[in-house]
Formats: sequence, C-alpha cells, structure tokens
Amino acid sequence: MSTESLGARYLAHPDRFPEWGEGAPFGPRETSMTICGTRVRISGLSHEQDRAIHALWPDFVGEDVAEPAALSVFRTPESTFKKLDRWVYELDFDYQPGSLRLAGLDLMARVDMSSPLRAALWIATESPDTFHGAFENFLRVVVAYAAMHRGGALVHSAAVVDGDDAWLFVGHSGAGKSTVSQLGLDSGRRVLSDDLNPILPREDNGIDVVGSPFLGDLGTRSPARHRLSAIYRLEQGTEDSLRPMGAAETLACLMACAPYINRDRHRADTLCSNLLEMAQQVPAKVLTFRRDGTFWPLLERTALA
Amino acid sequence: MPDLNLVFRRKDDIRYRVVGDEAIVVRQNAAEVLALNDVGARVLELIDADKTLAQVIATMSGEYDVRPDELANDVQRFVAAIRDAGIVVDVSEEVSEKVR
Repeated sequence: MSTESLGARYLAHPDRFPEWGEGAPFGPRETSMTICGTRVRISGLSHEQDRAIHALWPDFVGEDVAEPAALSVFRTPESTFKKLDRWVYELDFDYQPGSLRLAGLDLMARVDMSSPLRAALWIATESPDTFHGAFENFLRVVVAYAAMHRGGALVHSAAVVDGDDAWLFVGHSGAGKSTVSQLGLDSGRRVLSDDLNPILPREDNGIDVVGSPFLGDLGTRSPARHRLSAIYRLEQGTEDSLRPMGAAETLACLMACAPYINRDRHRADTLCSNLLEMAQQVPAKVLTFRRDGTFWPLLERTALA
Repeated sequence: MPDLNLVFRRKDDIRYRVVGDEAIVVRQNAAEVLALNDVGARVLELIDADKTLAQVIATMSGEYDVRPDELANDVQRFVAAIRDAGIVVDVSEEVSEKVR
C-alpha cells in the first residue's frame, strides 16, 4: 500500500490524514485494560464510549497501571469517511520503520512502535455499534503489535480448552476453525475464540494461549490463560488422521495466519523469529478430520503420549 | 523453462527465512507463505540478481549428489514455478519493461 493511496477506499480525503495530536478528544474519560498480557490506557473517551468498553469487555477492564500502552481517541468530522453499504473488516496499512498508519471503515489510526506502544484513533461517532466496530478493529492491530513486542503473536485460529491446556487450530479461511470450535463446544469443551488468539511465551518455557476480546462466531470474552499443548493445521477429510509437520511447514502455517504484521516489511522478521521460537516448543501436526467430531480421542491420545 | 543465461532476483515484497534444511517464503503483498524443501531453499538463497541460472546450478552441483542434467532440469522447473508465483523476477525482463 503506497502512502498516496492509504485509505482511499474509506476516506473522503486520504491526503488529509491527521498528524499525531491532531483533533479533539470525545471527552475526559480514561479507562485501563489488560488485554493479552498487555496493559493499555485509553484516553479521550466520552462517558458513552467508556460505558461501552465496560459493557463489552468487563473482564478486561482493570485498575490503572504503570507504563501502559497509551491509546488516545479523537473525534473527526463524519465527512472524513466515505459511506459504505456493507461492513468491511479489512484495513489499509502504511508501514513505516518506527510506526504505521491505518485506515478502515469509519476509522483512521496511527501506531508508534515505541515501548510501551503509543497509538491514536480517529473516529466520527459515539454510536455504540460504530464505536465498537471501529475500536475493536483498531484494538486488534494494537494487540498484534503488543504481542509481538512480548515475543508472541496474534494468530487467526480457533483455541479449544481441554482441561487446563488448550489446542490451537489454524488453517486458511474455510478450513474448519468454526466447525472444530462448535464440535469442541458440543463435546463439553470451552472455546476461547474461533477467530483470533494471542499466543505468548511462558516464563517457564512453553506457550500460553490467552483469552482475548476478539471473537468470531464462537468463544468466551475472558482473559484466561492456558498452556498450549499442540498446534493443529486443519484439513477436512473422510477419515480422522494426524501427521507431524516439519519446522518450516509449521512456521509457514503460523506466519500465514498472523495478520497485519506478516505484511509489514519492517517487522515481519521479528514476527517470524517469535513464531519460530514458539513453534519449537509445542508439537505441531496436520489434523485431517471428519465433520462429525470423531477426532477428539485422537487428540487426547496424542496429548497423553 | 527459463534459459540458463537468465539472471533472477527475489521480488521486493519477498521475505524468506531458512529453517534447518528448509525455508519459508513470505509474499507480503499477498500475505502468502510457502514452505520450501532444502533444494528450493538453496536455489532461493543463491538467486541474488548477479548470478545466471547456469552459475546457480554450477554452485549447487558441488553440493548435491545428483546428475548435472537432472539438477539443471529440477532447478529450471523450480525457478519457472517461483517466477510464475511472483516470488522471483527475471532481471533482464525488468530492465526491458523499464525502457518501454
């Protein structure tokens, strides 16, 4: 994405992208959250926006914390954004060495890669639906980079909790993440998210998959952490089977499923190193599965072995 | 199949990482990722905009226990595939496009 065309499909005047600090806050409210192990303080909120955050993500809102990532919310005129007749999750990025800009449906944002992260969001309305959509879209990007800074990654995946541990299921769109999640629920297991899951290295070796606010169709908005016991790349088939994945195949699979940063030419190498390090700590296999959910014993036996 | 005198280079949006004997290739503009075996990884490593395909093959012939004509054939096929996949570009073709 070139600088000139950033956000052309979303912004009425892409050439008027705001500078840092430009614009007025919606209000005086500040809220602190801990998301995927990353502490963030959100400022510039109106009372309505603050209430929306507390209502949407009560388990993630917490006490004020030291040295959080600083997210500022600014108001911009409604005429800033083109009116689209459908919901679009896709974002346009302009990746720079120390920062990035992004634009999407009803939002513009900047993220500074300082430590802790600093980010700014420009939106036009307090309407709960619009605010939720734009803010969560923005937050996904912030969390992806925050996870990367902590040696982890945000991964398009389904995370199913089995006992104290969790399995991570990855695969291209349509591979079966939501199907496996529903089958997991049907089998009495818990699903963290069938869409996006942060994975972070543990201090005592191993990997944690961390509950996030980012659900697809299924999941639980909870900050729970579970040790990751295996990564499975999904393939649908007529028989249930497992085959081991090599290191390169595992890395390729995870890299393809790590949104935003896998396209970032300044930071993709860091992401790749994180994923390689983590991929070496848990078994990774290709799971070919039938859609009737008969594969769980196969995973249980593998976990015991 | 590409001529042995051609010179290729990796495209600007390509990132690759060697993992043991293998490698992964990331096409950032499309967010596509491929895993390569050891031979593919070595070819991609050697393609650096200043070696002809013949030179790449000559370097590899000292590293792999395979008949030279078989190696040349495999490398040419592989380079044709990664050229078609947008991973490498023929430098001379690029130059002539710029002139046009």
